[in-house]
Amino acid sequence: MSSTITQYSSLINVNFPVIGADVSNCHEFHSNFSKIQSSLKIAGNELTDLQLKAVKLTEINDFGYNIIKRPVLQNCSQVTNDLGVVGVGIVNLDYTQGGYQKCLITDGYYTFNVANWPPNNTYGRIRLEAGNNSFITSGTVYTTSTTSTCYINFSGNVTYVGTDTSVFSFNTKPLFWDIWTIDNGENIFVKPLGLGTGTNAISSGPLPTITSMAPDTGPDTGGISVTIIGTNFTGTSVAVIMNGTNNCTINSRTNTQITFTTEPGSGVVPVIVRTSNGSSNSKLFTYYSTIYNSGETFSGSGD
Amino acid sequence: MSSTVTEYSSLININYPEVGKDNDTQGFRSNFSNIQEALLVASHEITDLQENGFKLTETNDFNYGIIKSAILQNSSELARQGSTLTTSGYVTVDYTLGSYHRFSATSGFSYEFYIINWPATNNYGQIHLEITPTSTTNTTITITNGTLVGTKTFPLTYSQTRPIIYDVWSTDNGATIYAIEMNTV
Repeated sequence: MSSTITQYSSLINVNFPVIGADVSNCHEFHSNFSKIQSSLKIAGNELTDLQLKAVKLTEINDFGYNIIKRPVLQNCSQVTNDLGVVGVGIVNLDYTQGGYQKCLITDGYYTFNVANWPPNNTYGRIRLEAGNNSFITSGTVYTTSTTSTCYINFSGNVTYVGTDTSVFSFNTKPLFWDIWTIDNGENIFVKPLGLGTGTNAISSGPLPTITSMAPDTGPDTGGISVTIIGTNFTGTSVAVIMNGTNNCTINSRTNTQITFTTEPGSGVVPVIVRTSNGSSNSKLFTYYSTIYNSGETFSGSGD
Repeated sequence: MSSTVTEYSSLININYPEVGKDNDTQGFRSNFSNIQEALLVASHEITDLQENGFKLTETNDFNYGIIKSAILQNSSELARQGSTLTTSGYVTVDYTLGSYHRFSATSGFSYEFYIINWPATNNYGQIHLEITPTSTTNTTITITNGTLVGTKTFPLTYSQTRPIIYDVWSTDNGATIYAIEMNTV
């Protein structure tokens, strides 16, 4: 794209007025001033376009997923997103908030859910740091020596690279993962970092996997029967966990199917299967309210 | 931000001088003045773009400005070939000079890598350190303020000639530094 200023500026009669010639009709003056004004108007519009679209070295520049080609990067860094202390259950991570995300956790069940991955056919990666909140009593000063055990998985279609451990026993050192996708989060790869070298992680057998769950809605009072289909529902200490904390009653179990009774709850909560080998991927269960506005409990079909 | 060139160019009287009137020369001066002002504004705006705009064929210093929602293609990061290390002591590694730092280290010594000029707090800075001992004689390595992910702790002693590689990062200007030992090359 080139400037079009010269479309008009080239038409300016630079030889006007001619010495000794009659200039009383004024037309040539008008023509020249008009062309100068038009040239400047085009210059203004082109400058505005550049100002709106140009990358500014000292400002935030949103490329709108346009490509920067062949850069050589020096002394660059990525924005860090510090979530602080997060509760058990679903922990939402927003890819757009930074290439490094950190949080503090303690004993319990956590499902990390990464949203807003970059578009299909682009490689998006974040590094996740989960520190042990048991150590934090004032700011970031570690003052105790409590070892926490947590069960961590990632929502979506996840492939673990290397160690597929989801049970972590850790103390002073945080846990780290690299998480990436190239298809807008349809398939997610998770690589635990620095594991398999000792007591900072417990490596174990095959993880349970949930492929389906039905029904996936129920009353907030709980008490309905739900069936989970999947794999590796084996080992000791098999449990169905709703919303990170509620240990549900299991009515029947095989290696590939569990029927359990829902606990009371509200909203949308993750359901996972936990075995001695670790915790599964999650499926979401939606509670609906059984309370009318009048305060009466809804218990019938409405006939 | 929009250009303000037209604030002045729109003041140009394109109907001056008027036919049949006794036009004094003030109209010419006013027009020339508005033309000059418009060109002055254009000059300043172009200078601002020239000084603060991104140039495709030059080194661009973003001065820690944020690049958001960008897709990098065929990108690379600056690598630095460090000096050959020949005696025990501190080895200064400047974050600003590259993302990959390669050293050859004479075996039998203890080296402490001191990484300086990390990016500001709440920015994630990451480098790779590659250190190749010259023989299988024990070589000891420490990263100043470094915490190894996993169970090992610095200093680490190696008896190998294969490269020793660390993934090293900080999010707090180097106050806390984590490192992953990747020495399986």
